[in-house]
Amino acid sequence: MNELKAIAAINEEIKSIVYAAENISLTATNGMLVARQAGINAVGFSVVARELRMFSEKMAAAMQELAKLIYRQVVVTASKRHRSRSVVLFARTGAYGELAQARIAPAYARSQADVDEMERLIAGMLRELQITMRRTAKQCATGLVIARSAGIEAAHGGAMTPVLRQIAQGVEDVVGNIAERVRKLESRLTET
Amino acid sequence: MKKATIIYQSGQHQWIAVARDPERPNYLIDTNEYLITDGNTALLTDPGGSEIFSMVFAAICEAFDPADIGVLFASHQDPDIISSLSLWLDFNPELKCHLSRLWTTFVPHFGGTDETFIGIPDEGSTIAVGKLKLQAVPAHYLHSSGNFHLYDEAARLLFSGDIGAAMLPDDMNDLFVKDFDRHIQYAEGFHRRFMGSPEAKRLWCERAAAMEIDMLCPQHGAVYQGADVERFINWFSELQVGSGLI
Repeated sequence: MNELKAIAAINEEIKSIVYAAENISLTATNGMLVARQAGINAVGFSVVARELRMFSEKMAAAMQELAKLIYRQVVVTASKRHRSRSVVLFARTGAYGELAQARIAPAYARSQADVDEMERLIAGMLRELQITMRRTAKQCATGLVIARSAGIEAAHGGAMTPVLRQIAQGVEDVVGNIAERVRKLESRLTET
Repeated sequence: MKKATIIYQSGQHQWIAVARDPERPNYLIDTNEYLITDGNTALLTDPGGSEIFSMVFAAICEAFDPADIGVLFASHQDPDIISSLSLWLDFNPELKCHLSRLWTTFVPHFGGTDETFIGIPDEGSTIAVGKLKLQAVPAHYLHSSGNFHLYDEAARLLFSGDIGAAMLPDDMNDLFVKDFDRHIQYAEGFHRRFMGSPEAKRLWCERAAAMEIDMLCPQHGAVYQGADVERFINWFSELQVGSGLI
């Protein structure tokens, strides 16, 4: 897979995580409303649902940061591909003879220097992406713990317990799914 | 590699045709570039696409120092005309590019800045190359809506962009038209399809007929010289062209 295709694939993953995180927020809000109907016994569930909403906001912010990094990566990678083509064409030009070689050498050197600099930039951005992904993976682990706590707190929901359990299970599934995707993204970035 | 051939010389004033690349892959249309020199300064017409930059540059090196090219002229905005611009500017960032004012914000997508382009007004302009005064002659809608040819009155040569172009078979690789009647069949389809306006064609034919032209130098195909120039203008004036004709 070429660099731009790989970046586009990562971006698609990020978009799907953002969508899933938005769903958690909605489900958590719904959970808070149901907990209110359940009364004082479901206060614990309300607290956990609020935490889940905060988790979903943090996830959205992290993904936004990743999307910005990805955009910068696309810009620099596209420029690098363009400049790399110039390097190839200048090298081909230089092979035609002494005057062609002498005249094109400075342009070749400038283009090669640009490509080298862009490669350094891309490597730096990749490191930044990896760090952000690691941080996001840790947030996901916390999110999973909160989602499981929601399952435990659902038991105190009195008549609303089955509904709260269903909500908690749904959230746990989605957070688990996000955590899995983040893990995959993290390993994909390590391979890149 | 393309070949550089001097087709006109008078003292330090030269026209060098850069044409016929046997190494060119078939998926790229063949193009002619013309270097108009006055001593150690030169203008390059329609420098070509980025994929043929190496061949054009190397061929020019055979006849002229490319470091002395100061001006580019783009008859219009197509990729086979000017997509090599960024490479030329990498080579010499000071290069100026004359082209229709219509395209001065389009062609920078190939490269260059607002310092690079000199927009030619619709009525045309004079472009100085050393002591030479070249005329950018309007040829709008033939085929591009902002289109210019370049006339060198001193040499009596007209760079005619896509007018006169012919898609020649491999066995017809002479630089000059040898047999007009055989040649013109390879120009017909191209002109019918690409020349969009009968009115613009009529105006161009009138303008060209009024000029003293010893050679008509198209961007594709072979160069018309002598009586073939008039033959071509007459042929073109009779040719049915226009939008919707295929």
